[in-house]
Amino acid sequence: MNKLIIALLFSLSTQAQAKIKVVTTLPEIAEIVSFIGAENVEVQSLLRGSEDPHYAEARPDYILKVNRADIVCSVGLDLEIGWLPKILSKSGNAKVQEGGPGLCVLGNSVQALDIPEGVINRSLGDVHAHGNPHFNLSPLKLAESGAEVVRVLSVTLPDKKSEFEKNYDSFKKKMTELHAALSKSVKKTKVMEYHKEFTYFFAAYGLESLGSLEEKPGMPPSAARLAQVAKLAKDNKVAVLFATPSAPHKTLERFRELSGIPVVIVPSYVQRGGETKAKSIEELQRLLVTSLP
Amino acid sequence: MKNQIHLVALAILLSSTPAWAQNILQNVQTSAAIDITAPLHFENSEENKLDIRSAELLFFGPLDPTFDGTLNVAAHNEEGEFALEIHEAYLSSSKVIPSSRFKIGKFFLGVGRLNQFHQHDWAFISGPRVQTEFFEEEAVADSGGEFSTLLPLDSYWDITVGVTNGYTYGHAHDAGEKPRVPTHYIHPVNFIDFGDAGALQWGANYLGRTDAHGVQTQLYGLDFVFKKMEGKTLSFLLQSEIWYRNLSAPGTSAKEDMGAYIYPQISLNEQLFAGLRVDLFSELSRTFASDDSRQDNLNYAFVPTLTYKHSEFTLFRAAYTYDIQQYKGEADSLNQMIEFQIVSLLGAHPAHAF
Repeated sequence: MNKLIIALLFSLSTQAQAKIKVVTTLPEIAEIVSFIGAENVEVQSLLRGSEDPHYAEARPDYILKVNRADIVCSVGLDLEIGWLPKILSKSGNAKVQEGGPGLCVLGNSVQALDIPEGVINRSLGDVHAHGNPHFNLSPLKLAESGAEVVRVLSVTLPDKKSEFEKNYDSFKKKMTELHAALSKSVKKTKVMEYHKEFTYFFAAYGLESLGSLEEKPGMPPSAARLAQVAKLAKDNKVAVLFATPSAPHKTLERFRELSGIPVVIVPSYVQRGGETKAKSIEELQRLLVTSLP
Repeated sequence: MKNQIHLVALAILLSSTPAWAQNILQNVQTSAAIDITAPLHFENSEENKLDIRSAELLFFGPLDPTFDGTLNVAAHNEEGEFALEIHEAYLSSSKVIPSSRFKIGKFFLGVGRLNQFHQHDWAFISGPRVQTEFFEEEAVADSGGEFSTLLPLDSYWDITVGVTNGYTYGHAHDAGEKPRVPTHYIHPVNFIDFGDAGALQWGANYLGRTDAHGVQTQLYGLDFVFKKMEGKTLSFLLQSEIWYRNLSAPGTSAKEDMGAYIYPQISLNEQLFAGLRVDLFSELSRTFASDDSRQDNLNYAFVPTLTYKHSEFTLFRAAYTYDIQQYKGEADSLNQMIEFQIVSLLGAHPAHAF
């Protein structure tokens, strides 16, 4: 009988020390959760950063990971709307579904840019009704987004709330210092982007953006649009156009030919795996800043 | 007819929700899918015309913190008249039983690959013969219950079992008759990740039913889908199904058939996709009427398909079908067709499965 009680107590204490299993959609969210949750969390990201999170697939191995998770953290603002809801529902994990205690949507605590006004429909392209979801490229916005991580971790482990808050303060400080340090080396130039993925990065460092090469989000630019924007960029002495590897290379090449403006192809998410200079939030920020002329 | 009027009234009511009610119903998502096709048969041009193959209205969303609801009504052109019918209407939940989900109501049976998707979501325009013979032009839908569970293993194994009324099977506009054994099925699905090279989902299937007259249907099949994504583009797709059917009734010899298709598709660029479907079908138990000996036969088809995705919600597609039916001792029969398709999706579209 005594042995049984000891075994039971041992089992309970092991469970008490078990780490919270967190699954994130993006590697940068995994980094935030690891920082704030510290040794209390075990984190893995579904995407590796090389995929386009607008168009990722609801892969069964993602379903399996979400099935075993205590918390699922996503960007939100409809970035993952094409695939994440299917994964959540097929996981059969009530904790992480809409209304569950383990659903953590970082966009909920961010003041988004580019919130469309007036009538919103698909004639505007692949527009995000709640605002631009690419806040991961601003250290200051990432700092804002951590508040949601603290909220959800504290619901799961209330005893550790003060520890999470303390770690969050350190994270905010780290992001603020990173931003301040990098800002010093940024020359205030005019810039453009292929898709509105770099908007938060440009805003964070006070770069004047002349907009995107895409006329409407998600729709490749027409030849007329390409010529028009190339002329606009040239006339306004735009220094560089930022694009990700998934942007159509022929279109970018044509823009470069017409405008004479350099195009920089850089990742817009932290990368996991492969040879990359963007394995962390800090590395990605440094890569973007050093890509500016 | 009365039911159709009610459905139309319901659809109009829900789709024209006034502004004051939008806040209350903000979690009811609505969508419409318009599937326009134009088949141009070479041998028989009488049915050559551009037409609405189907128009669907879909409503889905949470009913309460535990259950979700889905209603899909579709109108199909059947010999010049549009028949409005309930395709799917079910209550579902993935929050009640850990690692599991279920649905109760009317739905597309969770077997195979094509049978689980609406036609406008297919990678090609018309189904291969194995689909139309063993299932339906689009899919077999029936009323009942379906339960799926993820096994507690390190690798992905999702098992779906279902039991439905089975009064009818396939497309029917009558109530059918009470079957001796209702439609029942099982579909275990596994997933293999090949890293940067892509990922494969495959499933094994069994479906059975014995109708009111004692005709027993048994279907055994395998389904495969392999995908490779590059950035936001599906750079390579390989989809295939192979099925065997056995129809038996007391006092008669069994009728056996087997069919398959394989469809590889590559992306030519971000918006343009080219594929070639190869279909095979054989009536294994076919015999000569004269001496009852086996009559070898094979129906095969090649269907090159070109898809242009203007956006996530609008696509244009063209396909050419070269279809040969061979029966030993008889002249081959050739059927050729060019098909065009436009798919338009309005409103919210549910997230896609792998």
